[in-house]
Amino acid sequence: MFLEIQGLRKIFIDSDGNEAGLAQLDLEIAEGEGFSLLGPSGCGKTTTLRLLGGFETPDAGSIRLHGKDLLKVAPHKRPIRTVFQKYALFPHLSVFENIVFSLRMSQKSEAEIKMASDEILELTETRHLLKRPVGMLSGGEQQRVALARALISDPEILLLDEPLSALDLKLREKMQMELLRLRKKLGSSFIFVTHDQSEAMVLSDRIGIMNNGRLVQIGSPQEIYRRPTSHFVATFVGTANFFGTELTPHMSGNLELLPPKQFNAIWMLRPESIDLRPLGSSLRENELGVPVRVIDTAFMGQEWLSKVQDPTGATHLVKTPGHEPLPGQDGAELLMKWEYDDTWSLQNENSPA
Amino acid sequence: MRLLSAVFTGVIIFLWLPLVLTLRKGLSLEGVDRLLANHDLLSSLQQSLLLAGASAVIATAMGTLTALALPRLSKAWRGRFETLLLVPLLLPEIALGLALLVWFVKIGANFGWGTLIAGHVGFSFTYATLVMKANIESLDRSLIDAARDLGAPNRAVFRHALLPQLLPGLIASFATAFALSLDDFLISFFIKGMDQVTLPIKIFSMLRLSVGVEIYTLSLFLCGISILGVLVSQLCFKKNRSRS
Amino acid sequence: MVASKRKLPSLNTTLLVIPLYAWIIGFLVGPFVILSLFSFNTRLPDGTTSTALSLEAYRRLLDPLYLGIILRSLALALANTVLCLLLAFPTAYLMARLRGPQKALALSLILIPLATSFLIRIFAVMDFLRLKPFGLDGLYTVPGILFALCYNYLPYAILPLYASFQRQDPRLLEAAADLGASRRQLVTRILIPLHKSAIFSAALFVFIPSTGEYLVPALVGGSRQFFIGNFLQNQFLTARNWPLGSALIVLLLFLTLLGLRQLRRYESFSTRKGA
Repeated sequence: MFLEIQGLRKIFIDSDGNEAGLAQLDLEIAEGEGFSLLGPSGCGKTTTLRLLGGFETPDAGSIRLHGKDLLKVAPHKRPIRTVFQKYALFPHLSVFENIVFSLRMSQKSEAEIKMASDEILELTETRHLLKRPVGMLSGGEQQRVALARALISDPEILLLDEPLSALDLKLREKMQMELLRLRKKLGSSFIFVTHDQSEAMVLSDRIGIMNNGRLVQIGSPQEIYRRPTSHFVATFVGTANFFGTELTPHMSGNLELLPPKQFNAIWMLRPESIDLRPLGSSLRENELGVPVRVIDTAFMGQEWLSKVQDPTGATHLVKTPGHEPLPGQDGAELLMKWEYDDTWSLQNENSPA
Repeated sequence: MRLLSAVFTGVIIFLWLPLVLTLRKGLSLEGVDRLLANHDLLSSLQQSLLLAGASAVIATAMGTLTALALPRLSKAWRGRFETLLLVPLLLPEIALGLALLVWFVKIGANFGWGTLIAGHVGFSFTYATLVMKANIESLDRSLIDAARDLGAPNRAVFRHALLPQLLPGLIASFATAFALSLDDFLISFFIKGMDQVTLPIKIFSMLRLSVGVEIYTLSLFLCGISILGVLVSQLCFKKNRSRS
Repeated sequence: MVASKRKLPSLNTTLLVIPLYAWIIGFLVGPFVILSLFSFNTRLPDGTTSTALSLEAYRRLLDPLYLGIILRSLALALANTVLCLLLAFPTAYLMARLRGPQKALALSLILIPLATSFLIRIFAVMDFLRLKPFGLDGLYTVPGILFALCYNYLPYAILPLYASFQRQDPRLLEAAADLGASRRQLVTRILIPLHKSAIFSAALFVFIPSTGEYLVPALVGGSRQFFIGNFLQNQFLTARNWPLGSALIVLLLFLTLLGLRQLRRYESFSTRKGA
C-alpha cells in the first residue's frame, strides 16, 4: 500500500473570520508506517485527517492509494477508518454491536460477523468488555473498543485523532505499546494527528511537522529533533538553545572547528547536550566552551535544569543528569561546554530526507 | 450560613404548608369514591389529557424543526426570532388570551378543539424550542462522522447517531408542553368553544362553588404523578452525569 | 476548527423555518396587529365601535381612574418582585452550594409545587389566608394578594438565580474573602455584579407577568380590588370596550418588548465578558 497525496488543499473561514485549513500538502506514506502529523492548533492537521477520512472534500489536489484516485471513492468504501478523539461510541448499543457496526451496515452474514469479531476481540483484548454498557467503560477501555470497531474491517490505513490526549500517564505508556503492537500485527499504516510532540515521537516512524496549513519538515523523530530545518521546528519539538556569531569572541576551545565566515549563522544546541563544569576546566579537541553564570536551578528527578546566562546576556537552558550533583547554585560562575558535533546550524540547507 | 439555612427552611415551609394543608383534604376514601363517580370531572380529565398529548406532540415537532433551523440563520435574524420566542413567556397571560380571542373572532374561526389546540401549541412552542435548542447544541457530532465512516446509510446515521442523542430532549420537551397544557386555565378559558370543558376549567367551577372533596383527591393524584416525573428526570440526569 | 455543520445534507433551511414563521404570524403578529388596530378605534356611547383611527383609547387610559389602576398594578408588581428576589437570592445561593443528594432534594422541593395545578395552589393560599395566620386577616386585602403572588412566583425567581449560582466558580468568593472582603462586600461587590444578568432575568420574569396577573387579584382580592388583570377582563367581556382594553394590552406588549431588549443587552454583555 502506498499513499500518495499531491497538492491537497482545503481552505475555509473560521469563527473569527480568518482563513484556516490546509494550504498545500504533498506527502507519501509507506505501507505499515506509523506517521504523525504534528503541529499547533490551526496548522491544518485536523483538516488533513478529515480529508483523508472523506468527511470533507478538498478544494484541490489528489489522494491516491496504490495509484487509484481515492477522491472518486465514497468515504465509507475507502479502506481508511478513523478513531475519533472522544471515541464516538454509540451509547445505546452494546460494546459488541459497536464493534461490529460496520459489518452490520454492509449487511454481512452472522457467520462472517462472528468470525471477524472473534479475531478482533482477540487482537484488541476486548472480549472481557462485551458485557459492559458503553457508558461504564473507562477511557482506556473505550479507546480499545473504538480501535476494535475501526479495525474489524481490516482497513489499510487507520487515522487517529489525538489518541493519547485523554489518557493519564500510566495508561498512555500502555496504549503506546498497544498501538505499536496492533500496527505491526495488522500491517496497516497508522496516521496520527496530534499537537503533543512526545506523543508523536513515541508513536511514529516518521513525523510531519505542520504550521499554517503547510508541511514544514518531515523526518524520523531523531532527524526532527537533531536537525530541525527552522526555528519553529526547533522550538516546537523539545527545548532549544540558540546562539549566534556574537558569542564567538567569548568561546574557548578548538575554534578551528567553527566554519569560516558564517554570517548571521544561528546554532541550535539541545539542553542535554550541554555540560557545566568549573571555570578553567580543560576542553577536549572536539569541544567548545563559554563562561556562564547560573541564574536558576530546578530538580526534576531525572535531571537538573539550570538556567544560565552567557557573556552576551542571552540565557540558556541546560539539563544535567539527576544522579550527579548540581553543577552550581544560583550565581555560580561555570564553564558551559559542548561537543561541536551536537550543534546544528539553522542556516544549513541539508533538509533531511 | 445559619441565616441562609433559616431563610431556606422558611421558604420551603412557605411553599409547602398551604399546599399540604389543602391537599390532605383529598386523602380520603370518600374522595376516591366521589372521584370515580364524578363522570363530568373524569370526562374533563380525559379531554385535558388528549388535548395535552396532541398539543405537546405538535409543539415538540415544531420546536425541533425550529431548533434545527435557528443555527442556520444569520446572527441578526436569529437574535430577533429568539427575542420573539420569549414574548409569550413574559407577557401577562390575560393579554395573550384576549389577543387570541380577538384574533380568532376576526379570522372567523369556530371556537372549539381547533382553536384550543392551536392556542396550546402556541404557548408551548417556546418551551419546546428552547429545550430542543439546548439539546441540539450539546450534540456530539463525531458520532455522526463515526457512523458515516463505518458505512451507515442516512437512515442508520439518524437512527444510531442522532436519535439516541435527541431522545432525552424530545421527552423533556414533550413532558414540559404536556404539563403546561394540562395546567392552563386562563388562555383555555378565552379560546375554547362551548363544548370544551378542560380539567382546569372544571376544577375552577367546582372550587368556586365549593363542591366536592374529589377535586383535592384528583389534584393529589396528579401531584403524585408530577412528583414521580420530577424524581425520574433527576435520576436520568444522575445517570448521564456518572457516564461523563 | 469548523467541522461540517450539516447533518443530513438534504435538509433545507427554508423548509425548517416554516413552523417558526407559522407560529410568529398565527400566534404573535396576527393577534397583536389586530389588537393594535382595535386600539386605534373608539367605542361610541351607543355600544358600537367606530373604526375611524384615533388615539382616543390611549388618551382615556390617562384618566385618573384608569391611570390609578395601572399605577397600582405596577406598584403591586414591583412589591412582588422585590419580595421574591429578597427570598429567592439566599435560597438559590444555598441550593447551589449543596452537594449531591441534598442538592437534588432541594431542587425537587422547589420544583414539585410547580408541578401542582396553578388553580389548586391559589385556592390553597386562599384557604391558608382564611385560617387567619398570625391573627392577620389576609383574604380580600392587598397584602393578601401580595402574599399569594409571591407564593406563586417565588419558584420562578429561584430557578434562574440557582442556575446562575451553579455556574459560578466557588473559589471566587474564597479569593475575595482571602483578600479581605467582608460579608456585606462579598454580596454587594462580587455576587450581585457577577449575577447581574440572572438577577435582571428573574426580576423581569416576575415583574411583567405580575403586572397583568388576573387570577390572583380576582380570586384572592375578590371583586373589591381592581388591577390591570381584572380591568382587562372587565373591558373585554363585560363593558365590551375593546378599544380601551386593546390599548392597554398594546402598552403591556410594549413594556414586554422593552424588557426583552434590555435582557438581550445584559446577556450579550455577559457573554462578551466570558461569564
